[in-house]
Amino acid sequence: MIGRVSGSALGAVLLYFMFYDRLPAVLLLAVSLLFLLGGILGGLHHSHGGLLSIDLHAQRSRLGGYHAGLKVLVATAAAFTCVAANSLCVSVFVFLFMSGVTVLVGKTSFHYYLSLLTLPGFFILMGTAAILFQFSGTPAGVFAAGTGAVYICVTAASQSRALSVMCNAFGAVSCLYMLSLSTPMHKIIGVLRRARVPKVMVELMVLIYRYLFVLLETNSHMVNAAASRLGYRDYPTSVKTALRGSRNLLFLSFRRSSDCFAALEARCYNGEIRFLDKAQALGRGEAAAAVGFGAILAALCHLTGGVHL
Amino acid sequence: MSEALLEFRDISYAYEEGDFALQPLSLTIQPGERIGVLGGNGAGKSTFFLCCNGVLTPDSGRIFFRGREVTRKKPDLLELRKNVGIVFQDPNQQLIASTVEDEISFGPMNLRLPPPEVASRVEEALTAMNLGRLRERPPHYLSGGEKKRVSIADVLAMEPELILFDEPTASLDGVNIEVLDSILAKLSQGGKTLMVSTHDVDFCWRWASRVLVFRAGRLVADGLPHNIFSDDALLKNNGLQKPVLLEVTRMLEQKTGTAPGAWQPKNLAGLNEIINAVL
Repeated sequence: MIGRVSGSALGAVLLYFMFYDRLPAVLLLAVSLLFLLGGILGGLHHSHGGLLSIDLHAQRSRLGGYHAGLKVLVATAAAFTCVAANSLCVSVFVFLFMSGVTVLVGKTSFHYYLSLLTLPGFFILMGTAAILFQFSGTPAGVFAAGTGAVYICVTAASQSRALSVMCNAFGAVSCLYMLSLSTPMHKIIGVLRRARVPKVMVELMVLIYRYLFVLLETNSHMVNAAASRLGYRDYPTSVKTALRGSRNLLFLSFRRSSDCFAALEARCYNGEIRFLDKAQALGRGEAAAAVGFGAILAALCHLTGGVHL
Repeated sequence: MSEALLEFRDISYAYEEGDFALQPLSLTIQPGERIGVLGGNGAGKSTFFLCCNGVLTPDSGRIFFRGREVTRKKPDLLELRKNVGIVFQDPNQQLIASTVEDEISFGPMNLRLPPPEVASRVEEALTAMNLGRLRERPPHYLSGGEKKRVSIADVLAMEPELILFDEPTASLDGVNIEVLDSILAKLSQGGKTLMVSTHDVDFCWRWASRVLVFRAGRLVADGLPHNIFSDDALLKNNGLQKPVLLEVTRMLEQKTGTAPGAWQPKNLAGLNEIINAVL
C-alpha cells in the first residue's frame, strides 16, 4: 500500500512538472490528480510473484503460435530503434503498437499488463526525476524553488530531455514485454540455438530455466514446513529459519545435482545436451505484418530526423 | 532355455571403500520377466538399478547383456544404458527440458539417431503415454501423474529391452496408480522385460512373476511370488507384510481344511471365484 501511494505520488509530481508551463495549469493539475487517485485506488497495483507469472502468461498468449524468431527480431529491432532514434514520435508509436499487440492480439489482460509496467515504471520515473530536477545556485527555468543558496529548478530543456528519456525507456520496455509475454522461454532458447549462440550458454539457459522451478518448488515446500511449525512467529525466529532454510537449500542442491547427473547418464548423456530441433515455418501473414511495422517505423524515423547511433 | 537378457556375476558396489551398498550378488534376468523388487529404504534397490544400466560401475564382478560381457569402456556402457532404461522415482530428478516434447527427444538424440527417427519415436512415446495434448507444456506445469508419464515416455523413446521402475507408485494418487498398472501391463504385453522396485506387497503379488528381496545391500531372496510370500520367516525378517489377498486366502484354506497354497488368487475376481466355489 505504501509503495503504491508513494509510487503514484512520485508519478503525479513528475507528470505535473514535466508539463509545467506547457499545458494550462488547471488541466495539468487535474491530470496529475487523476493519475494519483487512479494509482492509489487500484489500477496500478503491483502483483506478487509477477515476474514468474510472466512465464505462465507467455504459455497462454494467443501470440504463442507466431514465429518465435520473427518476434525476437521485431522486438529487439524496435527496442534499439526507440533508443537510437531518440524521438518522441517513434517511442510513443512503438509503445502503443507493442502494448496493443500484447493486449489486443495476445489477449494478455490489460490489468496484468499495467501491473507489470509498474515495476520498470518505478525505476524509469526515478531516473526521469533525476533529469527533470536540477540544482542551481540561482533560480532559473520555468520553475524554481529554493532557500536562496540552492534552488531546485525545472527548465524547458530538462523537461524535454526527461520526457524523451521516459518515452524511449517505456517504448523499449514494451518491446521486451511483447516478447516475453508472447514467447515461452523454450522458444526463445530455440531461437538462440539456431542463431548459433555458443552451446554452453544455451545449455545453461535450459538447465537454469528448468531448475529454477525445481528450486522454487523445494523452497516453497521448506517454507511451508517451517511456517507450519511456527518458524516465522516473530522476527528473530524468522531470520534464524531463513538462514537454516538457505543452508538446507544449498545442501539439497548439491545432492540434487548429483542425482540429476545420474539420471542424465542413465539416458546416455555424453557431455552435450541436445533436443530435437523443430524448425518453425514463417507464415506469410506474420512476415507481411512485420515488414509493414518496420516500414512505418522507418518512415517515422526518417520524418523525425533519422537514427542517431 | 532362452538366452539371458542380463546377467550379474558377483557384482558388488561400495559408495565408500569397505562400506558395501551392494554385497556381491549374482542373478540372471530372462526376457519377458516381470520382476518385483522389495526391500526397505536403503536396502540397495536403487544402487542395484544404477548398476543394471551402467551408471554405477561395480567394484567387482562381471555383467553380461545378451551373453556379451559389458566392460567398463564407454561404448559398452552406452550400449548397456541404451538397452536398460530407468524410470527414476522422482520425476524432478529426471526431467531437464523446457517442454515435454524436447524432454522425450533427449534420450533418442543421445543415441545419435537421425532426426526423422527421433521425431517418430517422440510421437510414439507421446501417444503411448497419452501426452499428445501436453507436448508443448514445460514440466513444471504438469501434475505428479503427468510428470510420471513423461518420465516413462522418456525411457520408452529409447526403446530399451529392459525397463527399471524405481518406486513408481510413490507419491501417485489412486487414479494414477491404476493408470500405471495398465501401462505396466501394456509394456509387458509388448514384450518388454520389467523390473519394479516397490514397498507395495499387494502390487508385487498381483503383478510380478518373480520377486527379489533386498536387505542391507544383500539379495536375501529371489523366487516366485508364492514362495516368497508364503515364507513367514522371510517376511518377518525383512519387515514385509503378507499380501492381503494371500492372507484372506490362507484364512479360507484354514476354515475349509484345504491344503495350504492350493489357491493363489492374483486379484479380487480370482478370490471371488474361490469364495463362490467354497461357500
